[in-house]
Amino acid sequence: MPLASLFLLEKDGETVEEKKISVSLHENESYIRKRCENCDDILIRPMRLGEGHKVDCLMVYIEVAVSNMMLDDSAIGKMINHFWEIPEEKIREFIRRNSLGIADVEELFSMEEVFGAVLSGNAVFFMDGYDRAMKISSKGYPGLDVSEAETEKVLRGSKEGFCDSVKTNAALVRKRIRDTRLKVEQQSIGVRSNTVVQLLYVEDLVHEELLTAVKERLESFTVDGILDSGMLEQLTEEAWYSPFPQFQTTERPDRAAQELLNGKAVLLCDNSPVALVIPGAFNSFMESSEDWYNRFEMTSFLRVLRYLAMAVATLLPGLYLAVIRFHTQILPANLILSFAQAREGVPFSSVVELVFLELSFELIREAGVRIPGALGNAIGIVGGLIIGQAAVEANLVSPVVVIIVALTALGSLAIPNEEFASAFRLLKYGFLFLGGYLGIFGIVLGLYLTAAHLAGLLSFGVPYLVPFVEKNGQAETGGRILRQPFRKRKFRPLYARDDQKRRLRTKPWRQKGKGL
Amino acid sequence: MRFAENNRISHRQLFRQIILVFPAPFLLCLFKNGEMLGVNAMAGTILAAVLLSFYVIWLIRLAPAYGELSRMTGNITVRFIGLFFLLYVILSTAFLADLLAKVIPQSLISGISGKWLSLLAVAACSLGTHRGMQRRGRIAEISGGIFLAGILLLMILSAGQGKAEYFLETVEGTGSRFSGKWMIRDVYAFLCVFSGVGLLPFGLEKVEKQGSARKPVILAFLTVCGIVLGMQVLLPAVFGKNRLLAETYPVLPLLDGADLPGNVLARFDVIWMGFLVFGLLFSLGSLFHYGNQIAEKTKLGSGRYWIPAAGWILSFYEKNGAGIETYYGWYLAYIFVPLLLVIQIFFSVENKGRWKKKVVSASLFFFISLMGTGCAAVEPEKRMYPLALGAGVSEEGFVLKYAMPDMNVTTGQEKPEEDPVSVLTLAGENFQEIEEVYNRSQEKFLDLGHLQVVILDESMLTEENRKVFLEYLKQEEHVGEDVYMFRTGMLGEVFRWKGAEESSVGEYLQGIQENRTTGQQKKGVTLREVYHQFYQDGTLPWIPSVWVNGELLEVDYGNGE
Repeated sequence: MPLASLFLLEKDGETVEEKKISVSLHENESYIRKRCENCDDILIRPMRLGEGHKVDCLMVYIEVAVSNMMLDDSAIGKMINHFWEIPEEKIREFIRRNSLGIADVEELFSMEEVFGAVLSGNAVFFMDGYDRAMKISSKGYPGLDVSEAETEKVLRGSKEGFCDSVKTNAALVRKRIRDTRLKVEQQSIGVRSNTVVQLLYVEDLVHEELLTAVKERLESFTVDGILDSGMLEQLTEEAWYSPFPQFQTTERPDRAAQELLNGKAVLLCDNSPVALVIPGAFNSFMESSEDWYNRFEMTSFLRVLRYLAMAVATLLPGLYLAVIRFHTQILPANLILSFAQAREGVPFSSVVELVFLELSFELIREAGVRIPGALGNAIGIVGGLIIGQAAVEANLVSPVVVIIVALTALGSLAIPNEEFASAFRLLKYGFLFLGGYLGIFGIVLGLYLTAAHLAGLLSFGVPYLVPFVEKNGQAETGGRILRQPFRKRKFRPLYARDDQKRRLRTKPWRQKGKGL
Repeated sequence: MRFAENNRISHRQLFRQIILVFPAPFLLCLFKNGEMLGVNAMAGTILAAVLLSFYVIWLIRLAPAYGELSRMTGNITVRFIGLFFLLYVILSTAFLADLLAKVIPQSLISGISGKWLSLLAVAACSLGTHRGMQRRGRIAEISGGIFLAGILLLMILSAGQGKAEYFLETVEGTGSRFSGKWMIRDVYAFLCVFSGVGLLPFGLEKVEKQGSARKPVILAFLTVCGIVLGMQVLLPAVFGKNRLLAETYPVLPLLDGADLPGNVLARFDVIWMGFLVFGLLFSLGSLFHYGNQIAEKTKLGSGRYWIPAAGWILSFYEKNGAGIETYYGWYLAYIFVPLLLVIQIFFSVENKGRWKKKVVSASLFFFISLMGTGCAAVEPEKRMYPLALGAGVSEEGFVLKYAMPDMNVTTGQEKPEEDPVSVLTLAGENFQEIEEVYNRSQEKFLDLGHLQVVILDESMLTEENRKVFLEYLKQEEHVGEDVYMFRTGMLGEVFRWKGAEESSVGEYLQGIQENRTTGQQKKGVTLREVYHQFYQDGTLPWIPSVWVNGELLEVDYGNGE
C-alpha cells in the first residue's frame, strides 16, 4: 500500500476498508452522517425529485465552498431541476444516458471518493436505487477574495488570512485538512448578538478533557454580545490578571491547521479575523508559521534570535540603568566614560529620561497603528528620526538612551505574536524601575517573580511553560528553542493523544545517492 | 490531560530544586574566614557526600510516615513536631535574610539599607508560596539548569586566576595535616549546613514515582557536594591561605580579577553575584513554601504571612555583638540536627477572593519599598572615574592622587583638551579623612570601579603605611583586584607627566603592561598578588617601579622579569 494511502485510511492503527456506494440511499446517508458527525460546515441536504416527489436524493457539500447559485447554474443543476418533471422510473435511465456527457460531472464509486470530492470543495449528488454518486465540480474553496494576514506576514507560505466571516474561516481550515475527522462544532453566544462561534478540532488527536474544558468555559457565562474573539478570550481565560495571553491567536489558516494537527483546538468567532488556539504555551508564542516551512538551521537560528529579542525587549532598559547607576565597573572604562559624557547636560535623571523616551516611543507606535498606510510611515519617520534627533540636540535625552529605546523596540517587534510581545512591553517598565532603583539585585528579584508567575500559569490545564517543563520522555520533537529537521520530527507534541503520537513515517529511498 | 494538576512534581523538577536551594548559601557561608578549607575539609566533604547518599535513601523510605503525621503521633504531638520544623524554617529565614542584608550592600548596591533589601526579598519570595508544589517545581525546572550552568561557567572562568603554589601552601601549610578528629568535625559541620535536607520528606510526598526518587536526589546532592569540593580547590588556588583567613565571604571577590575575552565586559563579578542572589531568593521561597506546608499539615493553620514576617523580624536579633548568624550555627549543631535524627528514628520505627485588595496592597508595598531604597543610585555623568590612584605620605599624614582621564580622548569623540592632565590631590591624617575631604569638596561621586593602576610612593612601603593603605583599599568594594601595582620615588612628577596621546597615566601604564605580545610582556604585579603576599607575612612582593625620564614615563620590572 502506498505510504500516503496508509495515512488516509488508517484510524486507530487499523486500516479501514474502502466502502462502496450502496444502492440504498438510506444506507449511504447514515454512513455519511456518521462520518460527518459534528462537522457543522458540511451540509447534507435530502430532497425528493420526480413526478409526485417519489425519488429520494441527497446532496452533500461544504457550505462555503459550494454556493446554491453554482448548483443552479451548472449543467447537472439544470438537469436536477428537470427531474422534478419526469416520472420516477425514467430518472435513473436519464442519468445513465446523459450525465456522463456533461463536462463538470464525474461518477464516483466509493465513499472515499465521495469524501475526497466533498472535502475538495465539490458537491456530490446521490440518488436512491443508484449505486454511484455524481461529483458536481465547483470553483472550490474561497481563495482570491480572502485578504492577507496583516500581523503575521511571512516570506514563505500561504498568503491567505482569516476574514470576518466565521464560515469562510472554517472553510479555509477545511481546505487544508480535508478529513472528516476535522470537526467543526457551531454554537451561538451572546443573548443579543447571537454571534456564531465554531470550535474546530481533529477528533482523534485532541484530548477529550480539553474539549470538555473549552465547552464548559463557553457555557460558564451569559453576555449580551460577543463582537470579537478577544472578548471570548477574556471571558474564558483562567488567570485574567496576568499580562501573558493564555490563548494563542492567529490570523493565518495554515497556522491554525498546523496547531489542529498538533492536537490543539481552535475557536473561530464570527466578525473576527483572529482565531484562538487552545491551549497556549510560552514557546508557541515564539513560533511563526514559517518555522515549519524553512530549513531547520535557519529556523533554529531565528528562534534563538527571537528569544534574545525577548530578553532585550524586557531587560535592556533595566540593565542599562542598573549598570550606569550602580555597577559601572562592569563596563570597560572607555564605554562608561562615553556614557557619562553623552549624559552631560541632560537635566533629568536617567530613569526619568528612559521612561520619557519609552513613553514617547509608545505614543509614536500607538499613533502609527491608528493612522492609515503612508501616513503611518510618515509618523514613524517624524517620531523616530526628527523628534529623536531634536531631543538629543536639545539635550533632553542622551544619544545612548535613544539607542537603548530603539533596540528595545526592535526586540519587541521581533516577537512573532503581538499580544505576547505586549506582555513584555509592560514588564519592561517593571524591570526598568527595579534596575534603576535596586541595580542587579532588582533585576534578579524581577526575574524570580516573573519565573514564579509563569510557573503558576496554566492554559486549560497545560502548564504555560511547556515544553520547558515537560516530563521525562514526553518531549515534543524539536519543539523547544531549536528545531529539528523535518524528517526527525516524527511525533506530535504532548497536546495530541498518546495513541496518535506518530506524525511522520519515513522509509529509506532505494535510489539514494544514485545519479539520474 | 497529560498535565493534570495533581500537585506532583517530576524527578527532574526535584533534582533542580535541590540544585537551586543549596549552592548559593553554601558558597557564601561555608568558607567564612577559611572555614571548611584544606585537606580535612575536602575529605570531610567527600565523606559527608557518601553519608548523605545513605541518609537520603533512608529519608525516602520515611516519606510515607511524614504523609500521615497526624495519625501516627496524635493531635498534640503533631503540633509540637510542626513547631520544631517551623522553628527551623523561621531561623533559616532569619539567617538568609541577614545574609542578604549583609552581602548585597557589600558587593552589589552600596548606600541602601540592607534591611530594606532583605524585606523586599522576603516579600517577593513569600508571594504565591501556598500555590502548590508544581509551581515550585516549574520555577526550578526553567531556572535550575541555567543556574547550574552559570555557576559552573563562572567557576571555570575564575579558575584561570588560580595558582598552584597558592593551593599547595593551603594544603601543605601548618595545621593542614590530615587529622581524623578535624575531618569528623568538618563532616558534622557539613551535615549541619545540609540539615535542610530534613525537610525533604515533606516534598517527597509530592513527587511522582516516589520510590525511585533516590537517583535524582542522590545525584543532586552529589552535584552540590561537587560544587563545594570544586570551591575548596578553587578558593585556596586563587587567594592563598592567609587571605582566605581574612575574608568573611571569600566567594564575593572570586571574580574581581577575572577577564572576559573580547573586552565586552570589564568585570563580571556582578553577574556572579546575580546568580548567587537568585539562588538565595529561591532558597527563601522554598523555605516559605515548605513552612506553609508544614504548618498546614501539623494543624497550625496557614503560614503564608507570619513565617516570612517572623523570619525577617528575627534577622534583626543581636546580643553582645552576636547576630542570628552566630546563634543559627549553634542551633543547627546542638538542637536541630540531633533532635531531627531523634524524630526521624521515631518515624522510622513507627513506619514500619479578594484579588483587587490584594493586588493594590502588594503594589503599594512594592512601590513604597522601591521608593524607600532609591537614594543610592548615582548617574554616570555625576561620577569621577580616576584611572590611576597614587598614595604617598605628606606633612598632614597621607596624600592621595587621583588621575582623571581626558574624556575627549578616552571616548574618541573630539580633539584632546589643551591640558589633558587632570589630577586631584587630597591630603589628610588617614585615608578615611581624605575621603571625607573629598566628599566635602568635590561635587562628583568617587567611582573607583575603573581604576587601572595604583602607584605607591616609596614612603608608603613601610610596614605600617602599607598595612593602612591595603586595608583602606580592601574596604573599597568597587576596586577590582586585577589593578596593576607600581611604586615610584617621584609621585608628583609621575602624576604630572603628560603623554602624547594617552588619556591618563593609568591607561598608559596599563598599555605598557598589556599591549605587548606574549614574549614581550613583563611580569606585572596585581593587587590580588599584593594582597596574597601581604596576608601571608605582612610583606609586599617586588613591585615594578616607575619614573619620569625627560618626556618618557619608564617602568622597571626589576628581578620580577
